[in-house]
Amino acid sequence: MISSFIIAPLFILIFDRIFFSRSKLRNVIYWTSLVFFLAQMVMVIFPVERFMFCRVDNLSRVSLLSIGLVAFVTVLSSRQIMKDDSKRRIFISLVLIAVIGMNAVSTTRDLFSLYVFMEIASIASFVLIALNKERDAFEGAFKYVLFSAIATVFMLSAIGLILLISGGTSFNSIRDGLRISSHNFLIYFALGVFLSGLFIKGGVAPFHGWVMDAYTAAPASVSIFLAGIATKATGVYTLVRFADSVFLLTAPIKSVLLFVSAVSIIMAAIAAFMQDDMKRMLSYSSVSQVGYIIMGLGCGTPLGITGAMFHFFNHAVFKSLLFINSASLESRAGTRNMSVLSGMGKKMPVTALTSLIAGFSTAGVPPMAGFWSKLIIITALWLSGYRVYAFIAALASILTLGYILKMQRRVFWSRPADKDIQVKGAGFNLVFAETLLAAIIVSVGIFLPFWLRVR
Amino acid sequence: MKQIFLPIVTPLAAALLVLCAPKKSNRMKEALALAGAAVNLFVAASLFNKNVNFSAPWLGFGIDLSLRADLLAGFILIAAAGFGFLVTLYSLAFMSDKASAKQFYFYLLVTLCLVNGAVLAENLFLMLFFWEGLLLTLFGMIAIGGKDSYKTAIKAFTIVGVSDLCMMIGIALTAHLAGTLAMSKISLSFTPMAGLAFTLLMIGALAKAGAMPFHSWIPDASLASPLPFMAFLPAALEKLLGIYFLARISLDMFRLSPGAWPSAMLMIIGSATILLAVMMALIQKDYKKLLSYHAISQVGYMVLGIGTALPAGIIGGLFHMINHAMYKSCLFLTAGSVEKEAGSTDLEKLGGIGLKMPVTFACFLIAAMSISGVPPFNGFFSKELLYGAALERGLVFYAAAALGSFFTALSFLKLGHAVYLGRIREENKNVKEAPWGMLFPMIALAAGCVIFGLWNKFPIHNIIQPIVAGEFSESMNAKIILATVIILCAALIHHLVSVKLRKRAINAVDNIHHAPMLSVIYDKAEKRHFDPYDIGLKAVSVFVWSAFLLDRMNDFIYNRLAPGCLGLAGRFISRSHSGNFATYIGWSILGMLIIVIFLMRGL
Amino acid sequence: MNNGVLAFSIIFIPLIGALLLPLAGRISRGLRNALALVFVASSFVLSLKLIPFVMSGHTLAINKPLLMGLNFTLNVDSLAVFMAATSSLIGAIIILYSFGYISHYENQNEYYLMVVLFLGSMMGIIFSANLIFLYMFWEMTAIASWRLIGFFRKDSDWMRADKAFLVTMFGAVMMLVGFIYIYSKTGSFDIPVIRGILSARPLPDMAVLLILFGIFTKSATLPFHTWLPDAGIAPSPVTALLHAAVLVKIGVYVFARLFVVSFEMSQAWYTAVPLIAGLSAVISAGAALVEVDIKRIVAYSTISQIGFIFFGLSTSHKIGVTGGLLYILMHGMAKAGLFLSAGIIEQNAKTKDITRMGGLIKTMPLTALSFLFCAFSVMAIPPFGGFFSKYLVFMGAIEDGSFVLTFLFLLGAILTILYLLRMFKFIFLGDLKIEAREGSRIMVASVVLLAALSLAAGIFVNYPNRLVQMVVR
Repeated sequence: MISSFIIAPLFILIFDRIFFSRSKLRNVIYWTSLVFFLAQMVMVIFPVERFMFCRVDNLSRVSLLSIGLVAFVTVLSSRQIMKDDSKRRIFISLVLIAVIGMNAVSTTRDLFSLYVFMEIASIASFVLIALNKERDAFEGAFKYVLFSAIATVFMLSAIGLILLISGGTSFNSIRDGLRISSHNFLIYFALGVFLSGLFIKGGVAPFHGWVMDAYTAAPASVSIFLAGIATKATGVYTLVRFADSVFLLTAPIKSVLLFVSAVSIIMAAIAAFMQDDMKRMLSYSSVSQVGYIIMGLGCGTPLGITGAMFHFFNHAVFKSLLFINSASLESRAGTRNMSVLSGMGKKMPVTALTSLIAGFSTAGVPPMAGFWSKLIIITALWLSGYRVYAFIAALASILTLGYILKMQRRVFWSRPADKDIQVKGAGFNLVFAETLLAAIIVSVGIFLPFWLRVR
Repeated sequence: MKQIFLPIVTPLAAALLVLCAPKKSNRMKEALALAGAAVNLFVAASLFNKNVNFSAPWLGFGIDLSLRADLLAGFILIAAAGFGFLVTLYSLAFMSDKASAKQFYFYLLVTLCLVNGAVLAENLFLMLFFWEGLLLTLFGMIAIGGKDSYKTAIKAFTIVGVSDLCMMIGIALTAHLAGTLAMSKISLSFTPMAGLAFTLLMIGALAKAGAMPFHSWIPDASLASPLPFMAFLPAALEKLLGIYFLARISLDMFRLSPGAWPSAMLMIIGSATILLAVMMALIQKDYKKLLSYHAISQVGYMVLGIGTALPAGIIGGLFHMINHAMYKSCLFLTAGSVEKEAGSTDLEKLGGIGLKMPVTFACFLIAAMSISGVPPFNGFFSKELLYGAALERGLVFYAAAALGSFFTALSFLKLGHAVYLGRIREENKNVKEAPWGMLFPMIALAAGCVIFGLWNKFPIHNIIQPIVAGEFSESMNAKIILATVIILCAALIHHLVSVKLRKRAINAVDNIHHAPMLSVIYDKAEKRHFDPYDIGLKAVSVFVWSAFLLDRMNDFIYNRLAPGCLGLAGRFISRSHSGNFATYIGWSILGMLIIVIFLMRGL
Repeated sequence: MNNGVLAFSIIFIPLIGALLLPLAGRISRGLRNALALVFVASSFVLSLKLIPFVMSGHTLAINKPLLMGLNFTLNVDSLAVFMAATSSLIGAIIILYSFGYISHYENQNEYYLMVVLFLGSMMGIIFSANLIFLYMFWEMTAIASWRLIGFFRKDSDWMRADKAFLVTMFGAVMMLVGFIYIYSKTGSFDIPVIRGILSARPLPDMAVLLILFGIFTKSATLPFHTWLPDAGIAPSPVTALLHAAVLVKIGVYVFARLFVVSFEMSQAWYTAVPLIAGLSAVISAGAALVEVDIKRIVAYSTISQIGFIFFGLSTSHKIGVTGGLLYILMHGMAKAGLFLSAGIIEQNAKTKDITRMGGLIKTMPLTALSFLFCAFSVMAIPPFGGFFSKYLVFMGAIEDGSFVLTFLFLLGAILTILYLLRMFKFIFLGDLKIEAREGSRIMVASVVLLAALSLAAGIFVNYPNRLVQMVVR
């Protein structure tokens, strides 16, 4: 459990606090954290256990890879978005703390420590949202805190009950305990409550109330991190992990997962149509896409879980790219209100193109990466007999495409409005981050079938 | 080169040469056109009375490049080539000052090529290829007529094109039923399906020949298009082709017998065409338009003759076809002479020019007597054969044909009187006889009328009868001859009396025109209330608008309904996300409760 | 060259080449234009080179086995080669025309990129024998056409581009579910493999229905055709490309690939498909007679003619299939000619409303003549190519015994004559109402070329016919 994924960022934090507090060296944490995130990705892609100090399975690897990637681009792009050095230093520190929490969540095998690390990540997130000390940000942060508290109550009570029944908190003992007394009244109560807690963390309808406000109110850099990975690696990943190793997806639980995810997908996609604020639209989209992940999980087959985790990764990539795009718009054009923006395609070609790629990936249009994960999810649903849900998943991608196209039309491709919007020059980091993510999307999209190997 | 290809290739080559001829020299293209037509005549003559076959594989599925020249085909071929030559000759003088002459010759030669191809084709599909190709030259020849002639061109194209499409289906259906596309191998009896196929093919043939209800472009074209076109296509070649094909399908491909219902259908169409068209011809006040209605009316006789399914009728029909081509061409050519010399074809503006143009007048006289069925001209003999067959099938058909003759005679008395006799008008004082280039074709055709009249046994026995299986009695029915003579005399008397009463020849038929019931119908007909084309277009437009509305409704679903519903739902959802803590928490708790209850429901 | 490499190059030269065009455009416009033409023309030349190979009765499958039935399979047979040659020929002519047409507008780099990308993806669809790869290329064409339809960037243009994308996407995902259905039955997305497993059993009806959704949306058939007339706001070469030559033929081609060549459908579809196609043909022909926007009329005409192609392909008789395939070629050339002529007219007359035009035959005689030739081909007047294909379609239908449907389509064919003549009359005949010059030389040349090709395709109909007959054998 104590792995390099936790220790290394901790060291970076401590060293930064002790040695590099002087103003000249403020950027040391920026570089070291970048290096660490890169290293994390490399370690996950080419697993060398000697450097990790722990065993990771494929589920964890996907999560760790996504965390590393999103954290990397977040920190990279913060250089342009967050001009104030000292504030950025605090920001990076908080990101590192959150990453510690999430990395631990991804690798742990114990329910209680999972809970603890989840809280660590959450607390870092609260502060991140409120980083700018604005009124909206406080409100968003407060909503997040409040809902986290409710989720905590749910989960803690559920953990208590589970502990009561199974007599241990490691996943294995819980699984054994649940298997022995699988018809216990309390178990289903505990599972229901626990699921609800995770749904709140993951931001699934109807537990998603906090998502829009928190994502929208957070500073630009923060929302990249938050929407891209933070809530997914805690709530959604935990759900997948539990479903995979503890829950023994029974029929009623599958129905709950599928139903909740279908509601999420459709409701949020329709709501996303009506938004003017780009970030708010993207947060609705986030709710919708989390629905897909859970839907893949809900069909309970290995193929479905594969699809879910694949979509987890894809979502991390395209959603953080979209949030970088919106951050880029906000910092360079001064607004992210889609009814004001127009004709940005000419002025910000890279942002326009990458947002298009990310958008298509969201909608599952080939040859983008999102197509494959959706394909796998729909196939899995169809193969396990949930044909109605397969249709919902398939047709909802039209809704998705609809709001993506609407966003594209309004922001990037329409004729510039009379009132010309002045655009500041793009920095290298932003362009690099956008291009990197877009390249990942496209190359995964095109070459994925050629990379698939029998293990 | 196979001999049988020559009639197709020669005119085509000539046509392409004409097209390539230099713009400046008039003579060059005229010489080319005339040479092309002459060579074509020669080639056609060389094929006459020969049996030549050619076949080569083409598209598969029974579609071969197969040609066959037999007696009937050879006969039509030589007739078409003859008309082609005469009309070309005539046009040299007539079209000499027209800018569109080059196009005209091109179309004319291409038409010859296509007609020859259609006549020679043994494969039905190949025939359709040439047959439908005629649409192009038809369109082109009318369109070069003048400023507004395009409207008529489009009308003609639509009518003939639609019927050709019907024929296309008919051919496919025939091929399906017979299992082959080779005309000589097809032999079908009238099952309902075969009847349908026959009807479709018949539509094509009738439309080409210009029978009702496919006729209405012809009167329009008579005014809009260059005159040699009228003498060439509607008067001669299209009749030849249409009736030729009608004969082919009725005689060879389908076993048309007097008992079969298509026989009755053909006779009804024929009778109706005779009467309705001649009634319209009667009241026309324009030389060319009057002739064009007669061109329609006379088709009725041919259709009626073939429809009788009796040997006499069929022979009469075919004989009438060739006779009609001669005298109607001749009549149109006289109209052209008058138009060229007197500058008008409006009967109001003409009169008494017979002495100024004696040759034209003589030709007109012969042709007019032919068409009215005056012995001993050719029209008389073919009509007598028809009358006999019609009478055998039913008195009503005979009555229609005879009545048609009466009106025909009336209208030509009126026409001849109004144009050539009477007092000469001031503006026509300087009218001269037409040039020889125009006179020669007229004389040749008039001579043909006389020859085929006096020696009518020759064409009937040597050319037409071998085509038709079965015997027919040569003896003419004395009663019918008597009736004919009475009809003609009645027409003459009516005319004389009427002119006496009304003073002017042009008003000779006013008593019919203004008869109580008829005048209303005539008024409407003159205003084109009965034009099948317009009625058809109206019916189509009703359908079209309903289709358009259906399409708009479909659009409405995509453009308004779907986005509207989406917007409504979206607004509802957005509004419910008010940002209120309590609401959100309420949802969460509620969701949790529902999940827990759902999970525990089975326990 | 190896035939496999040939097929590979047909797809990937334009596909990868397209990405180079914006770079080339930065260097010089001439270079970019020339490259665009070269990429597409090379596809055409290479597919011509494949003709002898498939004419000798050979087929070739390039296969790279992958997991989950996602085998990357390219299939070189006569159907694919025929289609590739047809669409790349028309595509190349359209690019030639674009040199003249598009030179007045902004964003040319994007234009050429998307056009060539589109044609490359089309080649991908044609040769791909794996359903998922087929779907990928399918959606790539959708992306390219989305950008092309919205090329002029007005808000209304965007709405329509989005509409086109969304409607076709709807069909596409339905089709994808259909593919997944097939996968659930057979465990593979690879067409030859599926064929082997099904072994002449018909596909499940549900799967056929779902796939037809995709085919009908792409090929703009009632009731999913609504995006096509709306897409008329695109630049004319684009409308020609999308509506006439290539995009709408994708659906038809996939229909032929799946349901004619590869799999069996149950019997009911042989009635249902032509019925839908017939209604589509008749209703859109009716709409074409009411519309006054020149491009919308031609678009409706396309919808109507597509119906005939479906009619031919859905006869179980090989005459009909031959006719349907030939129809793709003939209609592609003629309709591209019509659209491109419409482009010349619209650009020079500065209006799309045919009631405001008239007498243009005097000022633009070559365009008028080409327009007329192409119209004749669509109307099925010999000796133009359309005559043969239409006859064969009818013949096939009658051999099949579908008499009632034949008369429905006869109505469609009659309406075709009416609306094309109406359009010709309004635009070219009558009094000269509007000042308009003849189009630029290269534009007129490409239109004349298409008209001449329509004529040549009729006179030398046996060459394409022999190739097509290899398909139905």
